[in-house]
Amino acid sequence: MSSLSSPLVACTDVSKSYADGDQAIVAIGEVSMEAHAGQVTAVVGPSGSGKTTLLHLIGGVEHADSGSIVAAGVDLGELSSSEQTAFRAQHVSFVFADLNLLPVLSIYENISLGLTLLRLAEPEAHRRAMSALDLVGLADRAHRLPATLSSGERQRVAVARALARESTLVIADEPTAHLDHDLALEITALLRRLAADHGSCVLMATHDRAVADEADQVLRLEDGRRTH
Amino acid sequence: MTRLAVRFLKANRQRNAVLGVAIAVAVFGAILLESVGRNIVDQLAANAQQRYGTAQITLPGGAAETLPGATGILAGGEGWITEEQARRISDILQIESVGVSPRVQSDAILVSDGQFSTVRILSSAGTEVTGGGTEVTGRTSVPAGYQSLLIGYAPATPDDDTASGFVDLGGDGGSWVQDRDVRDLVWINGDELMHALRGIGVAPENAVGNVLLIGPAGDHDSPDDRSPAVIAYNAAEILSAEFPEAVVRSRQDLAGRTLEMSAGNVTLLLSLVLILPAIAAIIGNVLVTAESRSDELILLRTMGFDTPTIRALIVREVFMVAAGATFIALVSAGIVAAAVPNLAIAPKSLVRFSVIGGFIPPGLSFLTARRLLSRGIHERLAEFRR
Repeated sequence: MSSLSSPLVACTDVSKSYADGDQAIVAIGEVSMEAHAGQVTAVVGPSGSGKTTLLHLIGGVEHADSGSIVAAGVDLGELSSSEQTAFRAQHVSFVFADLNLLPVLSIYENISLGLTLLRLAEPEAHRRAMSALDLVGLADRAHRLPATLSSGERQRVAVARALARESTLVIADEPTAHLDHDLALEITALLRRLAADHGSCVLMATHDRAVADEADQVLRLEDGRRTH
Repeated sequence: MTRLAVRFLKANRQRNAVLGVAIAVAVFGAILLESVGRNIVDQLAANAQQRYGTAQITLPGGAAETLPGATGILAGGEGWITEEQARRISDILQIESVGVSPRVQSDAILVSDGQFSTVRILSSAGTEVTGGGTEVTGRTSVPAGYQSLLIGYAPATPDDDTASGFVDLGGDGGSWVQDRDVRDLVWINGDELMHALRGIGVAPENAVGNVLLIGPAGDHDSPDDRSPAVIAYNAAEILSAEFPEAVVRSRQDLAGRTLEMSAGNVTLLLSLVLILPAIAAIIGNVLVTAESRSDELILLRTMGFDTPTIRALIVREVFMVAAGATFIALVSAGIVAAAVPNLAIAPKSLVRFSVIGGFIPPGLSFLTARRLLSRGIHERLAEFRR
């Protein structure tokens, strides 16, 4: 399903700095990388190495200061704020360590909410949501609130949302940060399945070596620069 | 998104209940306070009606305006009502059993112990100075040089600028007395004033005053079922054919309007002071509601919902609370109004406070949401991670 000859994400000499008082802090410095559909790419590095910034740039959350990012055939540097929003709605699913679900909605509604952006017909949206929940083993708890689930189950719901949306690009920022080893590997396996079965390009920031070892490609960052 | 807003509404029911109660209290309180205030104003106006149980007729140029800001300097020439005009008007109005009494009305400056203050004068009939409705009569005994009443007048003829000035009713002049209740009203002896005005050529010899007070003929103390406003209206109707230039007003109407303006402001102030805690609760709640939901907002934004959609979601939720609370407040106010005698609620008041209650809180939430959504997603996510 993947096409190694044409990367889904291509970053070339991407840099990003943030102002801290009078100083400019370099979060990402001239990073180049490629990621392909159907693969999981792990971005590893110590805290503050720029993992999250790189994922946010690729996910269309903000613009790079320099360099170019092309994702899903879209040059992100050319997008306005509203076009970035549309890009995220169309192509990207995020999986965070904590902030994944709206607590007032059931897990089924959380997944359906993500589907409203795709303007699917109601039956199709229902089918996709239930199918995704089934895949992550939570179909029987579709109408429970997130607060009644364990951390691992909530992460599975977040992955299910990405599955249901059939997103081209899945940005997972420390998705296993608060999980024990077994659960972390379980979520990683789900992300691998997402890539393999749906052809999604999964970019996953992690500081867990065991999780990174499950990825097809590992990108190491230190002080905002690529070391591997 | 409406379904989502309803879900948010239910999920945040405690917070929304507090907001709803605050809105309902504010709207209910504002409606009732305004109604109570209006009753107070009506009472004041009724008192004024009792007190000023006459209407007045002026002819063009007369100094009859008693509303604030009016210039009531005595005018010469056409401003004066002659004996013949007064008699004709009196004859005409006899048919309505209305008596006519010529008076002089103007602005003046009262000098007392070196202090100047602007007052209005109204002449009394005959030789006694009587305050309308008051029991103060007789010549005031004031040492010369300590108190003086200056009545401004315009030239007797339009081109005669040199003739304008003041009639000084000082120690050797006429008699006057300040009204016991209305401190800026001075009653003055009509005969003495007219004599002084004729003496300096301001008023023609045949002038009897610049206003005619009209009221029920006969015993003025006897109750009359016709209000002065009705008398004034009838008189105006009757006089318009003979004296198209005549202006007929009820004096209690003028006084009532003045009172209403001041009392209305007091009522508004009172309403604001009393419902201020409720307003503060509304503002605080809306701000806290929006702030506390920044996690939800950031999640929706990362998912790809645009800011107008998210803003509308928040506003919709607050609007549902505000609309419900306002409806409850209206129903409650209606029940109270029905239960309490003489507490009439004006439809205008209902509309005004419904709009305020129903739209101000959503407006506030709109502004708060706009502020929250103006910040970058990356910064918000970074805050969350911290």
